[in-house]
Amino acid sequence: MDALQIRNVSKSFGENKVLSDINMDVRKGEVHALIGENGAGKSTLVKIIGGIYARDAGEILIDGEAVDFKDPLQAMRMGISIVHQELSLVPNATVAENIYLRREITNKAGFNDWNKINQQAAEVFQRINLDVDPTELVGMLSVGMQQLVEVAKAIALNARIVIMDEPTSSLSENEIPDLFRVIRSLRDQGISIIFISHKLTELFEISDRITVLRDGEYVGTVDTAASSSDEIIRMMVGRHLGDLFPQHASQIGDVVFECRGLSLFGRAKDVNFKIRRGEILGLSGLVGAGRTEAMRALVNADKRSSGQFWMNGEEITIENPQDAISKGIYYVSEDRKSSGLFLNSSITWNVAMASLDRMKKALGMLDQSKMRQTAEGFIKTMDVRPADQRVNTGNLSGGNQQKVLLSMALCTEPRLLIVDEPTRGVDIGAKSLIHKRLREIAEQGACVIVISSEMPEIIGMSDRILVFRTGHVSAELDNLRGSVTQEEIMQKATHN
Amino acid sequence: MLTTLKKKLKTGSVLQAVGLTVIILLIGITMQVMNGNFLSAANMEVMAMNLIFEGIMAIGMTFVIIGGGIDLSVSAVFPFAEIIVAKLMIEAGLPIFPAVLITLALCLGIGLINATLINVLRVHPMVITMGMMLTLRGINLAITNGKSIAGFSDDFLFLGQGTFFGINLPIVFFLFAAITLGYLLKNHPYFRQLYFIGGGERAARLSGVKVEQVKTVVYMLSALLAGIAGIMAAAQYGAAHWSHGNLSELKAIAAVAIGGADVNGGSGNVFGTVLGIAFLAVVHNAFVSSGINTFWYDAVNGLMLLIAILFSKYIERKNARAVLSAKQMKLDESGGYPKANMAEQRA
Amino acid sequence: MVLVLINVIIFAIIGIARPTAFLNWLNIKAILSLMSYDLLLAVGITVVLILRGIDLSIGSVLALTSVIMALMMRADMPVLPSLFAGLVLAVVCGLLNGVLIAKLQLLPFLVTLGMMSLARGIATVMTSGQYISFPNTAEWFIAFGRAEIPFWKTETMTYGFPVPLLIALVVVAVFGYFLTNWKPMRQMFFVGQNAEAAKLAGLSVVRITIIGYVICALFVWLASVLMISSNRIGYANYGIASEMRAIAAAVVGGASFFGGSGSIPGTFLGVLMLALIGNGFILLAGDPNWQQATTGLVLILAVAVDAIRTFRERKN
Repeated sequence: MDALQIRNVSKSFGENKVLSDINMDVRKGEVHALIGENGAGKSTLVKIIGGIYARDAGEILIDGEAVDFKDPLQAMRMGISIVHQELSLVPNATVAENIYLRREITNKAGFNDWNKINQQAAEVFQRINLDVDPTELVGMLSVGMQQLVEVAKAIALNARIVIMDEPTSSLSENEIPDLFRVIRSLRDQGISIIFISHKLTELFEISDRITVLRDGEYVGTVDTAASSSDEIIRMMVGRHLGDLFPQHASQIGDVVFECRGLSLFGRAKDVNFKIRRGEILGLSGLVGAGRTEAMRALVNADKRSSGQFWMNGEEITIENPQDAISKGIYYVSEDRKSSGLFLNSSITWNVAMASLDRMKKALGMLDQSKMRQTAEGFIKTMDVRPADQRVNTGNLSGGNQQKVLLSMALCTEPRLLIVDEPTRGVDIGAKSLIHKRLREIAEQGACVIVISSEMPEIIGMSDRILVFRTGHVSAELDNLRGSVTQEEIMQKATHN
Repeated sequence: MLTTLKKKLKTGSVLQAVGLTVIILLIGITMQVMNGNFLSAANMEVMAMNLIFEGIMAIGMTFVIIGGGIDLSVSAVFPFAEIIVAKLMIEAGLPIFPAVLITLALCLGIGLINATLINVLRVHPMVITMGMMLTLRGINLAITNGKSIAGFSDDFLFLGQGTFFGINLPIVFFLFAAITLGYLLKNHPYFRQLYFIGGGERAARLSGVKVEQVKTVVYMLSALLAGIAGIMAAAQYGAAHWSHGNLSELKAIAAVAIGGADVNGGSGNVFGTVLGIAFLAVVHNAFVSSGINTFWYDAVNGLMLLIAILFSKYIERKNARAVLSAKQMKLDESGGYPKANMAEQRA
Repeated sequence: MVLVLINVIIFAIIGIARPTAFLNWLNIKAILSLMSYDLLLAVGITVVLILRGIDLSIGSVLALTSVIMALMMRADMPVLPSLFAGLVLAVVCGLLNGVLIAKLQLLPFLVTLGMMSLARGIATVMTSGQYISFPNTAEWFIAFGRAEIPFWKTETMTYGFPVPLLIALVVVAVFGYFLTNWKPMRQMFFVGQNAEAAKLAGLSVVRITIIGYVICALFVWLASVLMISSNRIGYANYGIASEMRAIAAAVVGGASFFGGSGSIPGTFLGVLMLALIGNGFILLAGDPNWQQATTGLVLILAVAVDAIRTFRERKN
């Protein structure tokens, strides 16, 4: 009897279908890896299993019995525990208290029996062979140790199925063996583990079977021992049909911008690159690999720890985003809603926002008619719908919001445009229009940096590709003829 | 032993408590040397009584702040309780026990309204409790026409002026509340949830904490303590007046913040708050007995609050830095992209 | 529009119920004159609310500046340097608030709560809680606070428009125009709406926020000048709870605790509404004491409406 069976599970958010007909079986006492590109639906699936989201269709069976969780607590009681990617521990409480939150051991008077709590926590750590002092404050532990405490918290209440969402992402190289030791000892005790990771080397080291998801669909399950990383990569990327991209650069000029030794404390280290006139440079890598962080540090939106820049051969300083914009460098955020657009303001204000200095009349009064004209112009060239400059951007569809956000950047006439996930959650039509516009801007002599987690987009758009892994640039690939393959990028992004 | 001590010293709150104790002692010794009567029993009592009602409110405020909230309405609940108990006893002629009970029930109701509005509207608690403070203060003014109510029975006055083993009753209650509630906060699973709510509501919810319910309880507790303080104050002053307790919310918050709680929630304890209120009391007394203009007191209170929140921010930044340092170590050890390889690729 | 209607309704109710007491020029003039201080403070608060901040210290800073200016004039300093000293002091308070909030990222209400106590405390220290009169100061200064511009004469009385109110209205109107049309000020709406997006679009978020708190302090200063000119004394207990009235008026007028919205005409209507309600209580119930409670209820009600409005917008 399989410990967990997932039968034809589907889930949509609004019109967006994120999971369709997922099937997966997890045996008792196995480590089952779940893998897929960013946005393949892994996290959604995990949240459905853990009772955080409700499924739209399908069945979940535990030990052959159909279950239907209304909240996470119910799932926990049925023996399902999730180790979330973000830590859920409180730094000012002890390790033991964090483990036993809401299932405290109390004495007859109803007070916490700290001795017993500490003792039991110590037993949990003994069970998984870990040397942690239960009375230590969690805030005093290293991040890696905290991650292991999360695991302990998950198994403390006789969990039968433990789901770990990228548990190694915040561990350092010498902490990972500790985690794997814990996982193996859990497996040997008959506990099933669902292990989510991007890192193929890890999956091959720890898992018994691997299930691959792609674009919210189930691709297949393989025995780890009988498979190879090439096979898994092929299953992950598959064939993306119908994506048409504009031509690559017709002509690449001289170096326009150069970045040397760019670092952001704790996030990105020693990033170097040059970019030439008319070129589109793609930044690829897994989420959290430091692409966004490095570009935010470039415009000093987050205070960088080091970095030198040259524009047209002259060294320049970049004090803050305002300074960057005045020197022709514009960073477009990856999250149009929380850090890109002003959702309660009209298209006009959004388009003009970064260029208000050029929208002034006498005495610094704003020239609203000029702003309107500018907005009208961009509505036309970017095909924003509805074509009404008075509409608040909060009422536009995702694709049109993205077009307005790009217009805000283009309005400043940048020489180096950095776009972060320019087509995330955008419909096909808007997507190809944005791709076309980006190429046109490059052909007109600007430099463009595209950050994208979507591999076809990176390969289709970029003339050159930088691959990031754990805060570093791990590879630089020439793609002027579109010859780089997804497998090649995935290899550089996941392997050491 | 030594290592656990060292470990504990590393955390900001313990360091703050030790530092605070030292400062309180230093001020005390200086005052004793200069004036000679600082440590006399009479002065100690004066000092303790001076901020005793703010102290009682500060205990409730500790709970609220640890849970990530704030309660500005205590400074209006305080005179509200004074007035209601006075009206019930002097104007309606009720005996002590039912009068006190009804008053406290009304205070609990105010806490319940605060919490419900905060939970339903999901606005910052400051705004809701500020509106409540304003409303209540207006009600206090209106139902008394701005006049004070006096004429309590001697039995009632005992609540504020009587002694228990030679100690004033309000002080006895303060110590009792500090010890029991401090113990509950430290050891009872229900109140431990506050630390998790204040540390991160989302994570707390995922772990099964009933966030709304716990918040409701602590806002009711805060209002209840402010009400008890008000009743004792009415007995202490022998009169109820709407302007009593003005700015007491500020002193209560300052005491909590000075005592080492994070004003954003998630940390703090009752012992720290007691130290914080002791510190404010000693400073106040120093101003009085050294002949410096006592009007400085409000200014110093404001300054203390500013310093306390600055310190709180400093600890927060230090912790964030520690997390980043760990990540930086990981970056350093995983090594960069070899330069030679890059040149090869270009060629 | 709704606000105009509410004001008209309140006006009509009181007018019908107490026609002689309410609809006479002396009463209306009293309402309007008292309004001028609240209007200036509420406009100041509107600016910080637009920036997604709050300033609880305005009442205390009002008292502190009044005390400083009164003390200097009492010491026979000429009027203008005295007023200038008050101005400098107000700007220092605003700067301190702004720097602590914008640069050090401290919670606005805690910072300004501290400032509230600090400023009030200093004002009390300097005066020992006494009224500060300045009998020897220049005649024009004490004259203009109570001056009126006559606009209609009948046989029995002269209808005049109070000069301080005129000054307040003109300043507020001009400021309102600048707030919506002048680039450096218009940017405040966007900083308040989405600070991160504003930063990435090249707005100097920190500087703009600090300037907002300074502007708020400038309005407080102006209110203080008009107040001491009219009352002819400086006093450390001026403006107690005025920050609450100002916040209530601004929120009623469309400013949001979530930042990014608020308007000068709206705030004006909010102030007018609170003033009418206060006057109504005096005339209808004969008890002015309920006024404060109403302000609190209006604040909670306005917050509830604001929260529901924001919640709906987020859902969209």
